[in-house]
Amino acid sequence: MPALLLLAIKVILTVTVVLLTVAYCVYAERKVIGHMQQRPGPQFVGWRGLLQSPADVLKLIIKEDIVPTKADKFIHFIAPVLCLVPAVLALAPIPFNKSGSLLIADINIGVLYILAVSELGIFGIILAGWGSNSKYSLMGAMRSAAQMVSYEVALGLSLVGVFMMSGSMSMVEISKAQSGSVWYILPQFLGFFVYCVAAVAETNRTPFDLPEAETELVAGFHVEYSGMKFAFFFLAEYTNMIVVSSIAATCFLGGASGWLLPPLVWYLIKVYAFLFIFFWLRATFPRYRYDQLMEIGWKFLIPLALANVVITALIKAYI
Amino acid sequence: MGIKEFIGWVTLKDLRQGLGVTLKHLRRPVVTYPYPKQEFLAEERWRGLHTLWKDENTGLERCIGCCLCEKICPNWAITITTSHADDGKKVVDEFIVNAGRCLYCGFCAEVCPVRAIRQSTDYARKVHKRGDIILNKKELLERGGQD
Ligand code: SF4
Ligand code: SF4
Repeated sequence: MPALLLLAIKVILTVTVVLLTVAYCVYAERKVIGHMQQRPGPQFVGWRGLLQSPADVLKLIIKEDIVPTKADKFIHFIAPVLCLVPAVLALAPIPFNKSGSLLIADINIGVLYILAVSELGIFGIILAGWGSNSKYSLMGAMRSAAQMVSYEVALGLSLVGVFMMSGSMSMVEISKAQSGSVWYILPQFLGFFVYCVAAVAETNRTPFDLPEAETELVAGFHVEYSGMKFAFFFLAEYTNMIVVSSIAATCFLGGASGWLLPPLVWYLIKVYAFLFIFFWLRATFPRYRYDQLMEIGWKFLIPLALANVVITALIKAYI
Repeated sequence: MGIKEFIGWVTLKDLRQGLGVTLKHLRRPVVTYPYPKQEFLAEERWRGLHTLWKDENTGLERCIGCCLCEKICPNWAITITTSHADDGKKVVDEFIVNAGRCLYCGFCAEVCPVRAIRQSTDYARKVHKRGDIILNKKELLERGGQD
């Protein structure tokens, strides 16, 4: 029984911390992008706008929940849940410290599990587009499906090099394997590059935010959502960002290892650095065209990832 | 594609440059005003709300009622009513500037032969009722001065 209790505490702690991070991610994003455009960002609610996120959450909770008359009620209702739940589930095997004591579940195929589970979120997006019974939503959902299918391949392949070097798929083992030697970002720089691009595309962020392209599709798949249901999509997007950042921190940046500071702090620094890159990209780049997106995925990233796998295999075998 | 461009393409030169620009701007100071909290002070040459001016020697209105400003206004924001006094002189009975229609182009101030209508640095016409946005002659004269 105590084991179960401990697990419950860990789950609650992780989910709370992540959801809080998400709330302040939105704040940080608005601040960073604001300053990159030489404006202050949120600044009126609380000291320097720090209470903006709680205010936004409150607003979303008390907002009216509108369901379009022609929408499929059940699918419209279930889609946001289907989007959020996999994103939160994917947090389970993320090791926040070296020993793995803050880990919810050390699965021996941790990375594979995360990739598989977070990919389930695409069902939520497709159902949202379909269930809303709106052209814009459906277009967004279709794009999202195509994008996810293309970039999932590159994302998976880019991590294969890491699996080969560490000889394991468990998040804890991968970060342990790096503590003795160099961080995998050095030998696997090609894989790291492919991973970064594919991760941005996977989370539907700028410059690959075609599913929710504001300028052409209004808001894409969540155009018919309001209130808490909309907030679920929002939460899912940011949770996914945290998940892909965590994988990057574990697989390429040595997990929780670092000097002087405690491991947990190091881990969070790495994850937040990644999140900052997400914001930075959003402030800088315009959106890719749809055919360009597919071209980058199939003609550049997948061959690069495959080349990386072959090179890693050759080096592993002969050196 | 020359060798130099090829190297630039492989190393994502244009993307790197873009990221550099945004990072440079991150360190620069904020240029926007938190408007209602911090009042924005317009430059002297700002083309804001209109004023009618009086002559400093006689204290009479400078406007001679030529209606050139009414004619030139691209948005028909100015309406002038004139009549003739007993001595045959033209009198401006009413001078209305509809600040809701005005696009602050400054043509009226430029065309006026006696510099009667001018633009001030006041840029905000904050009123509670829509009708109040219209400036009449009395208010225009109050906003102006003598010189
Ligand atoms: S500023 Fe331009 S638009 Fe406004 S009243 Fe004068 S002429 Fe008309
Ligand atoms: S304000 Fe100037 S241009 Fe307009 S009627 Fe008077 S004198 Fe003429």
